Amino acid sequence: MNYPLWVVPYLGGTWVVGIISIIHVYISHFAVGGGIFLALAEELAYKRNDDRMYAFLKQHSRFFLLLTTVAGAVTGVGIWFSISLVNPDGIHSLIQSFTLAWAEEYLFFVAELATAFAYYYTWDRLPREKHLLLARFYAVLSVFTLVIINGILTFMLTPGKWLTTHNWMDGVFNPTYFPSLCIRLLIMLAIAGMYALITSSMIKESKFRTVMVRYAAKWLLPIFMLGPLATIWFLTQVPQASIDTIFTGIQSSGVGNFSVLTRALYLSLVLSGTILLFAFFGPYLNPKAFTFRIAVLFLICGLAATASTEWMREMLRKPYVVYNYLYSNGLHKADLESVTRNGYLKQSKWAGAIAKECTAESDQGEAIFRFQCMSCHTLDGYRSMRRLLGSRDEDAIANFLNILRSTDPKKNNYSGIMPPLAANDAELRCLAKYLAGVNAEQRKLSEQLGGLPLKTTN
Amino acid sequence: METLNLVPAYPPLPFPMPVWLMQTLLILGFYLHALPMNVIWGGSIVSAVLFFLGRGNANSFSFRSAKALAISLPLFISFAITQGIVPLLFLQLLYGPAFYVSSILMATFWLGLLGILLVSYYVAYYIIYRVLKGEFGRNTAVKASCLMISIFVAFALIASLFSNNLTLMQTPEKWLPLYSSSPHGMNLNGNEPQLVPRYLHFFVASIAVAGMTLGCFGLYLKKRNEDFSKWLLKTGSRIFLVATVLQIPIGLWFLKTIPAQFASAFMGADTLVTITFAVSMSLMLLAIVCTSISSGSGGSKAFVAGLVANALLILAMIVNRHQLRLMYLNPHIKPDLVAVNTQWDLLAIFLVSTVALIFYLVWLCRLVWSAYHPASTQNVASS
Repeated sequence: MNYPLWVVPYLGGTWVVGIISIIHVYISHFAVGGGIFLALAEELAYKRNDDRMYAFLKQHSRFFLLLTTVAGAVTGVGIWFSISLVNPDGIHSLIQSFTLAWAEEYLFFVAELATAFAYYYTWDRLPREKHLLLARFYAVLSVFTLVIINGILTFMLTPGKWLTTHNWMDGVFNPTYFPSLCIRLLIMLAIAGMYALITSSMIKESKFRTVMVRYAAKWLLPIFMLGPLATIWFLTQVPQASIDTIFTGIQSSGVGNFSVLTRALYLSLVLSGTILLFAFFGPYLNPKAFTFRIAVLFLICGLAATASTEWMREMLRKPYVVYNYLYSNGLHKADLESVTRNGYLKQSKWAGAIAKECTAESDQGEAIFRFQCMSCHTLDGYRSMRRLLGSRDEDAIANFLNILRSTDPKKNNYSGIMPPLAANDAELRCLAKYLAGVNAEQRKLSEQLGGLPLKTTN
Repeated sequence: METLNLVPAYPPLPFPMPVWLMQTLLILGFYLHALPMNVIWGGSIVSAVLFFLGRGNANSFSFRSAKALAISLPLFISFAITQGIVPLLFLQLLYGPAFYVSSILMATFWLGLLGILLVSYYVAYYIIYRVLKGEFGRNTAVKASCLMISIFVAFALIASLFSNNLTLMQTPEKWLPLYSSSPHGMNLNGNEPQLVPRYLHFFVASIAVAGMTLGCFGLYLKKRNEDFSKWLLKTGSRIFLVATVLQIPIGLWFLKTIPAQFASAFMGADTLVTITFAVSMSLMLLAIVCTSISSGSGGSKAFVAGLVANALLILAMIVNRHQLRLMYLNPHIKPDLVAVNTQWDLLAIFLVSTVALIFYLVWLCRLVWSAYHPASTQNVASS
């Protein structure tokens, strides 16, 4: 709304953020869960005075350090960079609301990273109890980074009382804060186990490999037992509109019309279930047969499960960046009515400036499309407009856009997943004209096929 | 008027602390980020040259100092990334309406920067764990030198992207034409007159800081290896000296390329800006005098004096840089007009946490020191 829009052909800006986020989440969850793993495993090694385990942990911690402090740190900055490019309105609001929470997070990062380096570079140089102390410090510090960032992440879905008080504490300790914290901790322990399966599977001595593979597999048990409960707790705090979207999708699964949100949910459940079952029957019950290749498969499966779960979490928040406050296209909910009444091009600085350079109505429509729709849609790739428009003509498109203007869920079926269209009548016609040009070829093809409309997808 | 209309508004929320405090944290945060960044950028090319010079002998001072720089590089990269959080946070908060726009205009390059950073970070570790771990040979040093050059080129690219973005954010009149020509984030600020001298100003500064880093290694080794320590102090001082003297014409060129009304602020039109500039120049002269002495004698006292002068010089220059930014942005962006609702509770937590972090880091450093110097610090380890 306030800023120019970065046009990313085919992929769309959302997937730029999505890809970086998924990679980062998978590594950063390992950074926290792996820290707890190192502390508890080292405690075990200390109690047993087990030199083989110490040697394994030293090797594992190098892998841990190289992955979390390099790729983890850079992709973390990557999320920040990419959101700033794709949704500057959203990130600016978040930063302005939680500046000091972010600053606090930075302090824990510094402490966490310094401890990680101190821990790794003092192997075999410090007395064992001192080294174990460093491992414990690292585990606590990394959990605290989660404690803070979890507040900001969950705030976006359930801002709770913050919407009226604008108090940071109401924002951070919002309704989904604690269930989300539980779920993330459980996921982190499971991911730590999966990464440890990789390094354990590389141990040469078969007897010790069996011990460590089984130990690593045990880290998947907490989520197996507590995951469903934590998820139910989380879902009870999620906005009703999002829950409705899930259940509508589940009810219509039989006719193959289930929503994207439901697809993400199914995928997440299937992948997570597969990992847990195979972890139980594989490395836990039968650790001798476990190999490096199987461990890699586990890791890939874990990445896919992380991707689908994070995607579902993002979809739950639609059509908002901050629920009930800021739409995903940068429009504030409070401004919707006035923007629709006075005209989007008059209110949006950049869309207005681009439209001023055009004379044709369809070009003005392109400006509205770019600034209001392209934060989620592309022309030919992800959520492709050419595919979604099918063979609708200009009138049909205008009628459809008119529905999208409504904020009433009974009149607008898309209100739970798309921001309402903010455009006056003249702008709506411009947008319809532009979109009618976008799908002109499909319409022509449809006419050549005998006037039958091509199948459209909602 | 058109330019003003294109500068986005701040979110309809109050600032969480006074503007002066955010500006102070921005300056201090950037200072702590700039120091390790300079070590990485300048250190990579200095290390590459030293590896090449010491390619025939693993015990040569050149090879050993190049290796010391190479081993410390990943730590400096990590430090630079972490310290980058603070200035980026406050830059976005205070001047986000300009910074977000310029970043979007060059979005593809801006995001690509992180790919370059990721690869070069791993290359730095590759040098330590693969190249330098094996038996020494002529190829070892040459290979390390080539890889160091690749890190240098990577950081040179990253620095050029930062220079592009941070100059573009200051010139809103350029935004719309650039966005109209490419909404895909494929723009750069190549026609900006101050871009090249500004970039060179930072590059030469990074060489100077790399020289200072070598000297610091010399201080560290003073009691254990006097000859090597003296060599490091002399070589580091000389590198600093050459770079800083070279900085004088580049600085003048930089000053000449900024608009006349801004340049005049440095020459007396604005008292505070002029004083800061005068302090910078005095500190530079002091650093030059001190390092001239240490470059000849290898004396640690003169070097330390030069080191302190340079550390203060960098801070003064960063304040000057901030003042120049304000001159550019003042007509367009006014953070002073945003309401402030100070989050005192969170601010208090932050300050207490900062103090706690400092104590923790001191304890951690002493612990690591004790791990590497068990004989001299037995008491520290057990305390």
